[in-house]
Amino acid sequence: MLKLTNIHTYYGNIHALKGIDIEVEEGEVISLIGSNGAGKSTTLMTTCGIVPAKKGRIELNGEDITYLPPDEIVKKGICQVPEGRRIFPYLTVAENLDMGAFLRNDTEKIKQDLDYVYELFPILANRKNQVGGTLSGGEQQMLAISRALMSRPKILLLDEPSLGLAPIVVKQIFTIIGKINQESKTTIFIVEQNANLALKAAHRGYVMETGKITMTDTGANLLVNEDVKKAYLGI
Amino acid sequence: MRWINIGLGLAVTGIIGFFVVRELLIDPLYFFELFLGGLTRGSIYALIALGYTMVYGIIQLINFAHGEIYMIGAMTALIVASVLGLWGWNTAVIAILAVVFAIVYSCAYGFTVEKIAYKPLRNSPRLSALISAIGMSLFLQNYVMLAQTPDYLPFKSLIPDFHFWEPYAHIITSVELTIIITTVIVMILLGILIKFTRIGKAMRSLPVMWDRSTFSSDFWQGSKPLSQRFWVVSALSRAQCWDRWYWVFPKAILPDISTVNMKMYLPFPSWY
Repeated sequence: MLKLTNIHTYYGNIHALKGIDIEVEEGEVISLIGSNGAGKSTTLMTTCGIVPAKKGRIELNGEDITYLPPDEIVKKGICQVPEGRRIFPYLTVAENLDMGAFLRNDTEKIKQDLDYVYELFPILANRKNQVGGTLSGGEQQMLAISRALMSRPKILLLDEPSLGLAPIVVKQIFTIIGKINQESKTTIFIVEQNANLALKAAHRGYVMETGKITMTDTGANLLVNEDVKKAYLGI
Repeated sequence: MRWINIGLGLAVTGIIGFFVVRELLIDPLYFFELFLGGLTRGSIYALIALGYTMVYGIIQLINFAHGEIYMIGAMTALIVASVLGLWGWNTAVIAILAVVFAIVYSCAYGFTVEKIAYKPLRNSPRLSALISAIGMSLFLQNYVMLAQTPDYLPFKSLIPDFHFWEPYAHIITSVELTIIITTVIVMILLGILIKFTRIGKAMRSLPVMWDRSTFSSDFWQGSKPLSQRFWVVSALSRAQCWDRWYWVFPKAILPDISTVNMKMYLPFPSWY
Protein backbone atom coordinates (compact mmCIF):
# COMPACT_ATOMS: atom_id res chain seq x y z
CA MET A 1 0.00 0.00 0.00
CA LEU A 2 2.68 2.44 1.08
CA LYS A 3 6.07 1.83 -0.41
CA LEU A 4 9.26 3.75 0.24
CA THR A 5 12.07 2.91 -2.15
CA ASN A 6 15.67 3.98 -1.62
CA ILE A 7 14.80 7.20 0.17
CA HIS A 8 17.54 9.73 0.84
CA THR A 9 16.72 12.79 2.94
CA TYR A 10 18.96 15.62 4.01
CA TYR A 11 18.77 18.35 6.61
CA GLY A 12 21.08 20.84 4.99
CA ASN A 13 24.32 18.88 4.72
CA ILE A 14 23.30 16.19 7.14
CA HIS A 15 22.47 12.97 5.41
CA ALA A 16 19.62 11.81 7.64
CA LEU A 17 18.15 8.95 5.65
CA LYS A 18 20.60 6.88 3.65
CA GLY A 19 18.49 4.80 1.34
CA ILE A 20 15.45 3.52 3.21
CA ASP A 21 13.17 0.79 1.91
CA ILE A 22 9.91 0.22 3.71
CA GLU A 23 6.80 -1.50 2.56
CA VAL A 24 3.47 -1.33 4.37
CA GLU A 25 0.61 -3.62 3.39
CA GLU A 26 -3.02 -2.71 3.83
CA GLY A 27 -4.44 -3.39 7.28
CA GLU A 28 -1.06 -3.92 8.91
CA VAL A 29 0.40 -2.43 12.05
CA ILE A 30 4.06 -1.65 11.40
CA SER A 31 6.59 -0.54 13.99
CA LEU A 32 9.76 1.32 13.26
CA ILE A 33 12.14 1.20 16.20
CA GLY A 34 15.58 2.59 16.74
CA SER A 35 17.59 4.76 19.06
CA ASN A 36 17.74 8.54 19.24
CA GLY A 37 18.71 10.21 16.01
CA ALA A 38 18.39 7.07 13.92
CA GLY A 39 16.04 8.87 11.54
CA LYS A 40 12.71 7.42 12.62
CA SER A 41 10.87 10.71 12.79
CA THR A 42 12.56 11.87 9.60
CA THR A 43 11.13 8.84 7.86
CA LEU A 44 7.65 9.98 8.84
CA MET A 45 8.38 13.57 7.92
CA THR A 46 9.55 12.49 4.50
CA THR A 47 6.51 10.30 4.00
CA CYS A 48 4.28 13.26 4.83
CA GLY A 49 6.14 15.55 2.49
CA ILE A 50 7.27 17.92 5.23
CA VAL A 51 10.94 17.21 4.65
CA PRO A 52 10.86 16.01 1.04
CA ALA A 53 13.27 13.32 -0.05
CA LYS A 54 16.26 14.26 -2.19
CA LYS A 55 16.28 10.89 -3.88
CA GLY A 56 13.99 7.91 -4.00
CA ARG A 57 10.33 7.24 -4.49
CA ILE A 58 7.30 7.03 -2.22
CA GLU A 59 4.24 5.32 -3.57
CA LEU A 60 0.75 5.13 -2.17
CA ASN A 61 -1.26 2.40 -3.90
CA GLY A 62 1.06 2.66 -6.87
CA GLU A 63 0.78 6.43 -7.11
CA ASP A 64 3.92 8.55 -6.79
CA ILE A 65 3.54 10.96 -3.87
CA THR A 66 7.21 11.74 -3.23
CA TYR A 67 7.09 15.42 -4.07
CA LEU A 68 3.49 16.30 -3.29
CA PRO A 69 2.96 19.05 -0.72
CA PRO A 70 1.81 17.85 2.72
CA ASP A 71 -1.79 18.92 2.27
CA GLU A 72 -2.13 16.89 -0.92
CA ILE A 73 -0.65 13.90 0.84
CA VAL A 74 -3.17 14.25 3.66
CA LYS A 75 -5.90 14.36 1.06
CA LYS A 76 -4.61 11.11 -0.40
CA GLY A 77 -5.08 9.50 3.00
CA ILE A 78 -1.83 9.67 4.94
CA CYS A 79 -2.14 11.40 8.25
CA GLN A 80 0.46 11.97 10.93
CA VAL A 81 0.06 12.24 14.67
CA PRO A 82 3.03 14.47 15.34
CA GLU A 83 5.62 13.86 18.00
CA GLY A 84 4.75 15.65 21.23
CA ARG A 85 1.06 15.73 20.28
CA ARG A 86 0.90 19.31 19.03
CA ILE A 87 -2.76 19.82 19.63
CA PHE A 88 -4.07 23.36 19.40
CA PRO A 89 -3.88 24.55 23.00
CA TYR A 90 -6.26 27.47 22.59
CA LEU A 91 -9.02 25.62 20.80
CA THR A 92 -11.56 23.42 22.54
CA VAL A 93 -11.55 19.68 22.05
CA ALA A 94 -14.46 19.87 19.63
CA GLU A 95 -12.76 22.60 17.64
CA ASN A 96 -9.53 20.62 17.55
CA LEU A 97 -11.41 17.70 16.09
CA ASP A 98 -13.14 19.90 13.58
CA MET A 99 -9.75 21.13 12.44
CA GLY A 100 -8.78 17.51 11.84
CA ALA A 101 -11.54 17.35 9.24
CA PHE A 102 -10.40 20.60 7.65
CA LEU A 103 -9.95 19.14 4.20
CA ARG A 104 -13.29 17.36 4.14
CA ASN A 105 -16.68 18.66 3.18
CA ASP A 106 -18.94 15.65 3.74
CA THR A 107 -20.77 16.95 6.80
CA GLU A 108 -22.70 13.71 7.36
CA LYS A 109 -19.63 11.50 7.44
CA ILE A 110 -17.72 13.96 9.57
CA LYS A 111 -20.52 13.68 12.11
CA GLN A 112 -20.23 9.88 12.01
CA ASP A 113 -16.48 10.01 12.49
CA LEU A 114 -16.93 12.39 15.37
CA ASP A 115 -19.28 9.96 17.07
CA TYR A 116 -16.83 7.14 16.40
CA VAL A 117 -13.97 9.10 17.92
CA TYR A 118 -16.00 10.00 20.98
CA GLU A 119 -16.92 6.35 21.36
CA LEU A 120 -13.26 5.42 21.11
CA PHE A 121 -12.24 7.99 23.70
CA PRO A 122 -15.26 8.71 25.91
CA ILE A 123 -13.19 11.10 27.98
CA LEU A 124 -12.95 13.46 25.03
CA ALA A 125 -16.72 13.55 24.78
CA ASN A 126 -16.87 14.66 28.41
CA ARG A 127 -14.33 17.38 27.73
CA LYS A 128 -15.79 18.53 24.45
CA ASN A 129 -15.81 22.17 25.40
CA GLN A 130 -12.62 22.20 27.40
CA VAL A 131 -9.65 24.06 25.99
CA GLY A 132 -7.06 21.66 24.58
CA GLY A 133 -4.11 23.04 26.52
CA THR A 134 -5.73 22.18 29.84
CA LEU A 135 -5.97 18.46 29.11
CA SER A 136 -3.57 15.98 30.67
CA GLY A 137 -0.78 14.49 28.57
CA GLY A 138 -2.66 11.27 27.95
CA GLU A 139 -5.82 13.08 26.99
CA GLN A 140 -3.85 15.30 24.66
CA GLN A 141 -2.39 12.24 22.98
CA MET A 142 -5.89 10.84 22.59
CA LEU A 143 -7.00 14.13 21.14
CA ALA A 144 -4.08 14.15 18.71
CA ILE A 145 -4.93 10.65 17.53
CA SER A 146 -8.61 11.56 17.24
CA ARG A 147 -7.79 14.69 15.31
CA ALA A 148 -5.80 12.61 12.85
CA LEU A 149 -8.64 10.08 12.57
CA MET A 150 -10.99 12.92 11.68
CA SER A 151 -9.27 13.20 8.32
CA ARG A 152 -10.24 9.57 7.60
CA PRO A 153 -6.75 8.39 6.85
CA LYS A 154 -5.97 5.17 5.07
CA ILE A 155 -2.65 5.14 6.87
CA LEU A 156 -2.16 6.61 10.29
CA LEU A 157 1.41 7.60 11.11
CA LEU A 158 2.09 7.76 14.84
CA ASP A 159 5.24 9.49 16.00
CA GLU A 160 6.19 8.37 19.52
CA PRO A 161 2.69 7.97 20.94
CA SER A 162 4.15 6.97 24.31
CA LEU A 163 6.27 10.09 24.72
CA GLY A 164 6.03 11.52 28.21
CA LEU A 165 3.05 9.47 29.29
CA ALA A 166 2.46 7.29 32.34
CA PRO A 167 2.89 3.54 31.63
CA ILE A 168 -0.78 2.83 32.30
CA VAL A 169 -1.87 5.50 29.84
CA VAL A 170 0.58 4.20 27.26
CA LYS A 171 -0.94 0.75 27.58
CA GLN A 172 -4.41 2.19 27.15
CA ILE A 173 -3.39 4.09 24.05
CA PHE A 174 -1.77 1.05 22.47
CA THR A 175 -4.91 -0.97 23.14
CA ILE A 176 -6.94 1.62 21.32
CA ILE A 177 -4.45 1.78 18.47
CA GLY A 178 -5.02 -1.95 18.02
CA LYS A 179 -8.74 -1.37 18.13
CA ILE A 180 -8.57 1.32 15.46
CA ASN A 181 -6.61 -1.05 13.27
CA GLN A 182 -9.13 -3.85 13.64
CA GLU A 183 -12.36 -1.89 13.58
CA SER A 184 -11.81 0.63 10.82
CA LYS A 185 -9.14 -1.35 8.95
CA THR A 186 -6.80 1.60 9.18
CA THR A 187 -3.21 0.76 8.41
CA ILE A 188 -0.97 1.98 11.19
CA PHE A 189 2.68 2.92 11.12
CA ILE A 190 4.21 3.49 14.54
CA VAL A 191 7.55 5.07 15.25
CA GLU A 192 8.62 4.28 18.79
CA GLN A 193 11.52 4.26 21.19
CA ASN A 194 9.64 1.94 23.47
CA ALA A 195 10.59 -1.07 21.38
CA ASN A 196 8.98 -3.67 23.60
CA LEU A 197 5.50 -2.17 23.40
CA ALA A 198 5.74 -1.23 19.78
CA LEU A 199 6.86 -4.67 18.65
CA LYS A 200 4.18 -6.38 20.70
CA ALA A 201 1.53 -4.28 19.02
CA ALA A 202 2.90 -4.68 15.51
CA HIS A 203 2.48 -7.30 12.84
CA ARG A 204 5.86 -6.46 11.42
CA GLY A 205 8.73 -4.33 12.56
CA TYR A 206 11.69 -2.47 11.13
CA VAL A 207 14.83 -1.67 13.05
CA MET A 208 16.69 1.46 12.16
CA GLU A 209 20.23 2.61 12.86
CA THR A 210 21.79 5.92 11.77
CA GLY A 211 19.70 6.41 8.70
CA LYS A 212 19.53 2.82 7.52
CA ILE A 213 17.16 -0.07 7.99
CA THR A 214 19.21 -2.83 9.58
CA MET A 215 16.61 -5.48 10.20
CA THR A 216 13.06 -6.38 9.36
CA ASP A 217 10.89 -9.24 10.51
CA THR A 218 7.56 -9.95 12.17
CA GLY A 219 7.01 -8.24 15.48
CA ALA A 220 7.13 -11.48 17.41
CA ASN A 221 10.38 -12.57 15.82
CA LEU A 222 12.06 -9.26 16.47
CA LEU A 223 11.02 -9.44 20.10
CA VAL A 224 13.04 -12.61 20.58
CA ASN A 225 15.91 -11.61 18.29
CA GLU A 226 19.16 -11.52 20.24
CA ASP A 227 20.55 -8.34 18.68
CA VAL A 228 17.32 -6.44 19.15
CA LYS A 229 17.08 -7.64 22.71
CA LYS A 230 20.54 -6.44 23.46
CA ALA A 231 20.25 -3.08 21.75
CA TYR A 232 16.68 -1.99 22.39
CA LEU A 233 14.97 -4.11 24.95
CA GLY A 234 17.65 -3.91 27.58
CA ILE A 235 17.60 -7.62 28.30
CA MET B 1 8.28 50.82 39.98
CA ARG B 2 4.81 49.41 39.90
CA TRP B 3 3.59 52.02 42.34
CA ILE B 4 5.09 54.82 40.31
CA ASN B 5 3.24 53.49 37.31
CA ILE B 6 -0.02 53.26 39.17
CA GLY B 7 0.45 56.71 40.63
CA LEU B 8 1.28 58.21 37.27
CA GLY B 9 -1.66 56.46 35.70
CA LEU B 10 -4.03 57.67 38.36
CA ALA B 11 -2.67 61.20 38.08
CA VAL B 12 -3.09 61.33 34.32
CA THR B 13 -6.53 59.75 34.48
CA GLY B 14 -7.45 62.13 37.27
CA ILE B 15 -6.43 65.22 35.31
CA ILE B 16 -8.26 64.03 32.22
CA GLY B 17 -11.21 63.03 34.32
CA PHE B 18 -11.28 66.47 35.91
CA PHE B 19 -11.50 68.22 32.55
CA VAL B 20 -14.04 65.72 31.28
CA VAL B 21 -16.31 66.22 34.25
CA ARG B 22 -15.86 69.98 34.14
CA GLU B 23 -16.81 70.00 30.47
CA LEU B 24 -19.79 67.82 31.23
CA LEU B 25 -20.99 70.21 33.92
CA ILE B 26 -20.45 73.36 31.90
CA ASP B 27 -22.20 72.22 28.74
CA PRO B 28 -23.62 68.69 28.71
CA LEU B 29 -24.79 68.90 25.12
CA TYR B 30 -21.39 69.95 23.82
CA PHE B 31 -19.81 67.25 25.90
CA PHE B 32 -21.96 64.53 24.36
CA GLU B 33 -21.32 65.89 20.91
CA LEU B 34 -17.58 65.53 21.49
CA PHE B 35 -18.02 62.21 23.21
CA LEU B 36 -19.98 60.70 20.34
CA GLY B 37 -17.59 62.20 17.84
CA GLY B 38 -14.78 60.47 19.69
CA LEU B 39 -16.71 57.24 19.74
CA THR B 40 -17.18 57.47 16.00
CA ARG B 41 -13.49 57.95 15.21
CA GLY B 42 -12.67 55.40 17.84
CA SER B 43 -14.82 52.78 16.21
CA ILE B 44 -13.06 53.32 12.90
CA TYR B 45 -9.68 52.94 14.59
CA ALA B 46 -10.95 49.91 16.42
CA LEU B 47 -11.77 48.15 13.16
CA ILE B 48 -8.37 48.96 11.76
CA ALA B 49 -6.77 47.73 14.95
CA LEU B 50 -8.74 44.49 14.76
CA GLY B 51 -7.38 43.78 11.31
CA TYR B 52 -3.91 44.71 12.45
CA THR B 53 -3.92 42.43 15.42
CA MET B 54 -5.41 39.56 13.44
CA VAL B 55 -2.53 39.65 11.04
CA TYR B 56 0.00 39.92 13.83
CA GLY B 57 -1.66 37.14 15.79
CA ILE B 58 -1.29 34.74 12.91
CA ILE B 59 1.97 35.40 11.17
CA GLN B 60 3.70 37.40 13.91
CA LEU B 61 4.42 40.08 11.38
CA ILE B 62 3.71 43.75 11.81
CA ASN B 63 1.84 44.47 8.63
CA PHE B 64 3.09 47.94 7.82
CA ALA B 65 0.99 48.03 4.69
CA HIS B 66 -2.23 47.75 6.66
CA GLY B 67 -2.84 51.49 6.66
CA GLU B 68 -2.11 51.61 2.95
CA ILE B 69 -4.72 49.00 2.23
CA TYR B 70 -7.15 51.15 4.16
CA MET B 71 -6.11 54.13 2.09
CA ILE B 72 -6.55 52.20 -1.16
CA GLY B 73 -10.09 51.34 -0.13
CA ALA B 74 -10.82 54.97 0.58
CA MET B 75 -9.35 56.01 -2.76
CA THR B 76 -11.38 53.39 -4.59
CA ALA B 77 -14.55 54.57 -2.90
CA LEU B 78 -13.69 58.13 -3.78
CA ILE B 79 -13.05 57.36 -7.44
CA VAL B 80 -16.19 55.27 -7.80
CA ALA B 81 -18.26 57.90 -6.04
CA SER B 82 -16.87 60.73 -8.18
CA VAL B 83 -17.38 58.91 -11.47
CA LEU B 84 -20.89 57.79 -10.65
CA GLY B 85 -21.61 61.26 -9.29
CA LEU B 86 -20.62 62.73 -12.63
CA TRP B 87 -23.04 60.38 -14.34
CA GLY B 88 -25.71 61.70 -12.04
CA TRP B 89 -26.57 58.47 -10.24
CA ASN B 90 -28.66 58.28 -7.12
CA THR B 91 -26.65 58.97 -3.94
CA ALA B 92 -27.80 55.83 -2.15
CA VAL B 93 -26.79 53.63 -5.09
CA ILE B 94 -23.45 55.41 -5.26
CA ALA B 95 -22.87 54.82 -1.56
CA ILE B 96 -23.57 51.10 -1.85
CA LEU B 97 -21.50 50.65 -5.00
CA ALA B 98 -18.62 52.64 -3.51
CA VAL B 99 -18.60 50.32 -0.49
CA VAL B 100 -18.74 47.21 -2.63
CA PHE B 101 -15.93 48.39 -4.86
CA ALA B 102 -13.84 49.50 -1.91
CA ILE B 103 -14.22 46.10 -0.27
CA VAL B 104 -13.42 44.19 -3.44
CA TYR B 105 -10.41 46.34 -4.24
CA SER B 106 -8.87 46.30 -0.81
CA CYS B 107 -9.46 42.55 -0.60
CA ALA B 108 -7.63 42.16 -3.86
CA TYR B 109 -4.81 44.40 -2.71
CA GLY B 110 -4.52 42.67 0.64
CA PHE B 111 -4.45 39.30 -1.07
CA THR B 112 -1.88 40.40 -3.62
CA VAL B 113 0.37 42.08 -1.08
CA GLU B 114 0.42 38.88 0.92
CA LYS B 115 1.22 36.80 -2.16
CA ILE B 116 3.98 39.08 -3.38
CA ALA B 117 5.61 40.40 -0.26
CA TYR B 118 4.88 38.07 2.65
CA LYS B 119 4.26 34.56 1.47
CA PRO B 120 7.65 33.99 -0.17
CA LEU B 121 9.22 35.01 3.15
CA ARG B 122 7.11 32.78 5.33
CA ASN B 123 10.03 30.63 6.39
CA SER B 124 12.68 33.32 6.56
CA PRO B 125 13.75 35.34 9.60
CA ARG B 126 11.06 37.69 10.83
CA LEU B 127 13.14 40.75 10.13
CA SER B 128 13.09 40.04 6.39
CA ALA B 129 9.33 39.90 6.31
CA LEU B 130 9.17 43.08 8.36
CA ILE B 131 11.37 44.93 5.89
CA SER B 132 9.34 43.55 3.05
CA ALA B 133 6.24 44.93 4.76
CA ILE B 134 7.80 48.37 5.08
CA GLY B 135 8.74 48.22 1.41
CA MET B 136 5.18 47.34 0.47
CA SER B 137 3.93 50.24 2.55
CA LEU B 138 6.28 52.72 0.85
CA PHE B 139 5.46 51.35 -2.55
CA LEU B 140 1.70 51.64 -2.11
CA GLN B 141 1.95 55.17 -0.70
CA ASN B 142 4.04 56.41 -3.58
CA TYR B 143 2.06 54.51 -6.13
CA VAL B 144 -1.14 56.24 -5.07
CA MET B 145 0.58 59.61 -4.81
CA LEU B 146 1.76 59.23 -8.41
CA ALA B 147 -1.36 57.62 -9.79
CA GLN B 148 -3.73 60.01 -8.03
CA THR B 149 -2.45 63.05 -6.24
CA PRO B 150 -0.57 63.90 -3.09
CA ASP B 151 -3.07 66.68 -2.38
CA TYR B 152 -6.16 66.74 -0.25
CA LEU B 153 -9.23 65.51 -2.04
CA PRO B 154 -12.76 66.37 -1.07
CA PHE B 155 -15.07 63.44 -0.48
CA LYS B 156 -18.68 64.42 -0.78
CA SER B 157 -21.00 63.02 1.85
CA LEU B 158 -22.80 60.00 0.51
CA ILE B 159 -25.05 59.52 3.46
CA PRO B 160 -28.12 61.71 3.45
CA ASP B 161 -29.46 63.29 6.63
CA PHE B 162 -32.03 60.80 7.78
CA HIS B 163 -35.40 62.37 8.25
CA PHE B 164 -36.33 60.37 11.31
CA TRP B 165 -33.05 61.29 12.96
CA GLU B 166 -33.62 65.01 12.74
CA PRO B 167 -34.56 65.56 16.40
CA TYR B 168 -31.19 64.17 17.52
CA ALA B 169 -29.08 65.41 14.65
CA HIS B 170 -27.60 68.18 16.75
CA ILE B 171 -26.04 65.62 19.08
CA ILE B 172 -24.93 63.00 16.60
CA THR B 173 -25.18 63.29 12.85
CA SER B 174 -26.64 60.65 10.58
CA VAL B 175 -23.16 59.95 9.26
CA GLU B 176 -21.75 59.29 12.69
CA LEU B 177 -24.74 57.15 13.53
CA THR B 178 -24.16 55.10 10.38
CA ILE B 179 -20.51 54.62 11.27
CA ILE B 180 -21.23 53.41 14.76
CA ILE B 181 -23.97 51.04 13.64
CA THR B 182 -21.84 49.66 10.82
CA THR B 183 -18.97 49.11 13.21
CA VAL B 184 -21.11 47.20 15.65
CA ILE B 185 -22.52 45.00 12.89
CA VAL B 186 -19.12 44.33 11.36
CA MET B 187 -17.66 43.47 14.76
CA ILE B 188 -20.46 41.06 15.56
CA LEU B 189 -20.07 39.39 12.18
CA LEU B 190 -16.33 39.15 12.67
CA GLY B 191 -16.89 37.64 16.10
CA ILE B 192 -19.15 35.00 14.60
CA LEU B 193 -16.65 34.31 11.83
CA ILE B 194 -13.79 33.83 14.27
CA LYS B 195 -15.72 31.84 16.79
CA PHE B 196 -17.82 29.47 14.77
CA THR B 197 -16.64 29.03 11.20
CA ARG B 198 -13.95 26.69 10.04
CA ILE B 199 -11.82 29.49 8.69
CA GLY B 200 -12.14 31.20 12.05
CA LYS B 201 -11.04 28.13 13.94
CA ALA B 202 -8.16 27.63 11.56
CA MET B 203 -7.12 31.22 12.17
CA ARG B 204 -7.17 30.76 15.89
CA SER B 205 -5.19 27.56 15.65
CA LEU B 206 -2.52 29.04 13.42
CA PRO B 207 -0.21 30.76 15.91
CA VAL B 208 0.63 27.35 17.29
CA MET B 209 1.32 25.97 13.88
CA TRP B 210 3.86 28.62 13.35
CA ASP B 211 6.65 26.21 14.02
CA ARG B 212 7.66 24.14 11.09
CA SER B 213 6.76 20.72 12.31
CA THR B 214 3.19 21.32 13.38
CA PHE B 215 2.64 23.25 10.27
CA SER B 216 2.72 20.13 8.48
CA SER B 217 0.68 17.93 10.68
CA ASP B 218 -2.39 16.23 9.42
CA PHE B 219 -4.66 18.97 8.28
CA TRP B 220 -2.29 21.70 7.30
CA GLN B 221 -3.17 22.81 3.87
CA GLY B 222 -0.77 25.14 2.19
CA SER B 223 -1.28 28.66 3.37
CA LYS B 224 -4.93 28.90 2.60
CA PRO B 225 -6.15 30.00 6.02
CA LEU B 226 -3.46 32.64 6.05
CA SER B 227 -4.43 34.07 2.71
CA GLN B 228 -8.05 33.87 3.67
CA ARG B 229 -7.37 35.87 6.74
CA PHE B 230 -5.70 38.58 4.74
CA TRP B 231 -8.79 38.66 2.68
CA VAL B 232 -11.08 39.03 5.61
CA VAL B 233 -8.87 41.58 7.24
CA SER B 234 -8.67 43.72 4.16
CA ALA B 235 -12.39 43.55 3.69
CA LEU B 236 -12.78 44.58 7.27
CA SER B 237 -10.50 47.56 7.16
CA ARG B 238 -12.42 48.52 4.12
CA ALA B 239 -15.90 48.07 5.36
CA GLN B 240 -15.84 51.56 6.73
CA CYS B 241 -13.83 53.55 4.30
CA TRP B 242 -16.89 55.03 2.72
CA ASP B 243 -17.92 57.00 5.68
CA ARG B 244 -14.77 59.05 5.58
CA TRP B 245 -17.18 61.68 4.77
CA TYR B 246 -15.04 64.67 4.20
CA TRP B 247 -11.41 64.14 3.29
CA VAL B 248 -9.17 61.45 2.13
CA PHE B 249 -5.56 61.97 3.01
CA PRO B 250 -3.46 60.18 0.49
CA LYS B 251 -0.71 62.56 1.41
CA ALA B 252 -0.59 62.04 5.11
CA ILE B 253 -1.48 58.40 4.83
CA LEU B 254 -1.40 58.06 8.53
CA PRO B 255 2.40 57.93 8.94
CA ASP B 256 1.30 54.63 10.17
CA ILE B 257 -1.63 53.34 12.04
CA SER B 258 0.77 52.19 14.69
CA THR B 259 1.44 55.78 15.64
CA VAL B 260 -2.25 56.31 16.08
CA ASN B 261 -2.39 53.32 18.36
CA MET B 262 0.52 54.61 20.39
CA LYS B 263 -1.22 57.88 20.89
CA MET B 264 -4.34 56.12 21.99
CA TYR B 265 -2.43 54.25 24.65
CA LEU B 266 -0.45 57.16 25.97
CA PRO B 267 -2.80 58.01 28.83
CA PHE B 268 -2.63 54.41 29.94
CA PRO B 269 0.77 53.39 31.27
CA SER B 270 1.60 49.82 32.00
CA TRP B 271 -0.71 49.36 34.93
CA TYR B 272 -3.57 49.54 32.50
